[in-house]
Amino acid sequence: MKSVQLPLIPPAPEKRRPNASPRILSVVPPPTGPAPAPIVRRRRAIWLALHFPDWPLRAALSALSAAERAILEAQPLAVVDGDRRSTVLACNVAATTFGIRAGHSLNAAIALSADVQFLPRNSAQEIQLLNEVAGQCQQYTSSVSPQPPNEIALEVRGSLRLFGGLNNFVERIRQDFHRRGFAPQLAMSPTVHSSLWLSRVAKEPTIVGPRDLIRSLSRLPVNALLWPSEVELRLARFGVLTIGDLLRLPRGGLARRIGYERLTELDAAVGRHPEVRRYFASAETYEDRVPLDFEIETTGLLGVILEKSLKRLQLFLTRRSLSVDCIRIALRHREQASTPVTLGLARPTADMQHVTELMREQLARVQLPSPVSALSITVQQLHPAPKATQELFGTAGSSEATAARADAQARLLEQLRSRLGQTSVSSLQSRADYRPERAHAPASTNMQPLTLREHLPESLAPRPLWLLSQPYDVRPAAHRTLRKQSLSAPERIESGWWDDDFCVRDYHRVTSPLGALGWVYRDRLHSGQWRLHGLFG
Amino acid sequence: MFDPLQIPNVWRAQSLHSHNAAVEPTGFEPLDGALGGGWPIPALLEILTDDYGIGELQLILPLLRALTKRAPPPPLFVWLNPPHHPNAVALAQHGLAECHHWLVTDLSSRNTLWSMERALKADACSAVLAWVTDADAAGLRRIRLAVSTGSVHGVLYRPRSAAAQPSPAHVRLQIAAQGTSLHVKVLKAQGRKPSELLLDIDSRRLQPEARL
Repeated sequence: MKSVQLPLIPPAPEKRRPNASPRILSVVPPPTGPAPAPIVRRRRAIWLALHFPDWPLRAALSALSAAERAILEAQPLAVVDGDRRSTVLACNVAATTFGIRAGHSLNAAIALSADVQFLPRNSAQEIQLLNEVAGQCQQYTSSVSPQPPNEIALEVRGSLRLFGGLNNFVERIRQDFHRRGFAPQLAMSPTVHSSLWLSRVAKEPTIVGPRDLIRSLSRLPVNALLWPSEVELRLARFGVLTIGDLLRLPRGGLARRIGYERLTELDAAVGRHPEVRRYFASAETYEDRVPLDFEIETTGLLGVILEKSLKRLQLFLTRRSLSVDCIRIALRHREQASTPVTLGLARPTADMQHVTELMREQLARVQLPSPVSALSITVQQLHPAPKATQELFGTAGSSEATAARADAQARLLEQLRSRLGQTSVSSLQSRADYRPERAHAPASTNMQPLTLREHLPESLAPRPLWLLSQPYDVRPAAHRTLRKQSLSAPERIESGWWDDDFCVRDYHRVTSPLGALGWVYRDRLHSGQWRLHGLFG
Repeated sequence: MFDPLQIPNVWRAQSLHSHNAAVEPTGFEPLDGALGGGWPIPALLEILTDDYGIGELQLILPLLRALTKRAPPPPLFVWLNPPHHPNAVALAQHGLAECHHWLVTDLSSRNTLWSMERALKADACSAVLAWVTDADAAGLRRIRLAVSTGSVHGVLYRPRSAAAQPSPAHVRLQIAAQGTSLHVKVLKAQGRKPSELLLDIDSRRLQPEARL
């Protein structure tokens, strides 16, 4: 590598000749030439391509129910394209024993075996399935680029170290997909195009470094490029069978024959031309539908199935570092409208264990009108995951402890609400009002701490700790004893002339025969009726 | 010289209590004496009474006030199934403003015990106050366990008839009004003998400690 030596010692300023005629001196230091541009070494990307063979077959089957799938999979089966020839796109093992291959026409396939079942291609399902798999790939890297119809490219340079090196990483991916029932062909190389082309023919995972990229590509047959068949045919006519043959041709002539875009594609594959990729971003909402193979009548069993769905949601949230604050569950019935179950959370969370507990409490209260045939879980709004930072020396008075407690309180509130009802828990609040029943105002929606300092006059007489929700009428026979017994000068409360609840009351403190200290008032508006309003607990 | 009394939770049989255990003064001198310094912390307190308005809340208000200083602000108190509405204004007069007070009413005894257990386990509040009419032994044991493993106080109000049943609570008091005082019968206090005493409650009820 060439490096430019910068002069360490600044050049000495020009000596002024003593006899020179006076001239305007510039104070700007003499120029030392333009600063050398920093040498940027672009980090080379490493692309991992996943090629899924038999994708049309897999997608078409995944759209069916489990029972139908089981029946179909036992028979010879082929997926045909919707074009004029009805080309066979993929077929299962049973069909290959009859000699049916991808690329045959429908008529050819029927000629080989009359028992073969045909499924139409389901392009929408193919794309949906690919996006699903792309979402799952986000656990390896954030740069995921799905290449319809059946390929996914991942930029994995930054992930190699995390997953323990190149070979471990490839093996890990292979096993992860194997567990889910996929068998992708894997290839790793420095460019997207080359990795995709290599993956199309790779029976074993292939890893190609930048040095032997051109050599490895040269061996690939031209049909790995998936160019239109007429282009392939034209190339075959002038004896071009591998990519190596293509690269040897003069560029001018090749561009004229196969088109400029294809030449650019070739250049990009060998790294002579930059590539631009659009990365996959999963949806901003979450939806999970679970068709049930049998109808369920008990909520206990539904809980088990929903728990699994919530685990999937947990995975989704962890991968994208998101959290949720409202989860809607719809229990679908065959004939009736679905039963909604809403899990509202006081604050966004990604902890599905907590949500599962809430879900169980809520489900226990649900009355199913008829058996459930399908479930769906929807999240309309996803929030960024709350960032939890740990203090090095956790102390009780720290902001961290306060935040942890606020979090625990929110959870407790959710637990109580999910079992006892959304409005069951109320928070004691106060209002600036002299009427005791109005000064005391429990609220069940905003759970604020009780604050009173600005509401309460200094000279307010002691109030009873218990307030009766309905003032209790004292028998007229007891009026006289009450008057005699009154412990203090009455406190008069006269308020509310501006609204419908005008009251003039004289409050006394009295002791009951059993020893309870009560707060009794005489209603001066209503013929002096005595009422018990509170107890000094 | 090795002193066995230095080992936590070892005490002489005649002193009958551990001097190392953490206690919170009750705010009533006679009661402190009967309980060996104050309420154990954290503990499940059981207060047996059939009457309300005799000072049953006054008994634990000093404890609640002390607990507000122990937790990160704002502290939370959970009131489960109280017989009447706790009056927000009076609570503030008694120094329990700037706190969360959550109120759940109209609960069955089963749901009250369930909520109490949840609240005790959650480590979210300073104290849980619950009023239950009938509690089964298993439910009470679960609550006692939740108190012992967490750091939250439980106060359980039960009718006097429950005095005949055994209870896993740390402290059991049976209370009744006697003139202007409160008669407290200590049925159970860990490491102490049962005793009876009179507390002056009235003056506190009429002169709240924390005037604003």
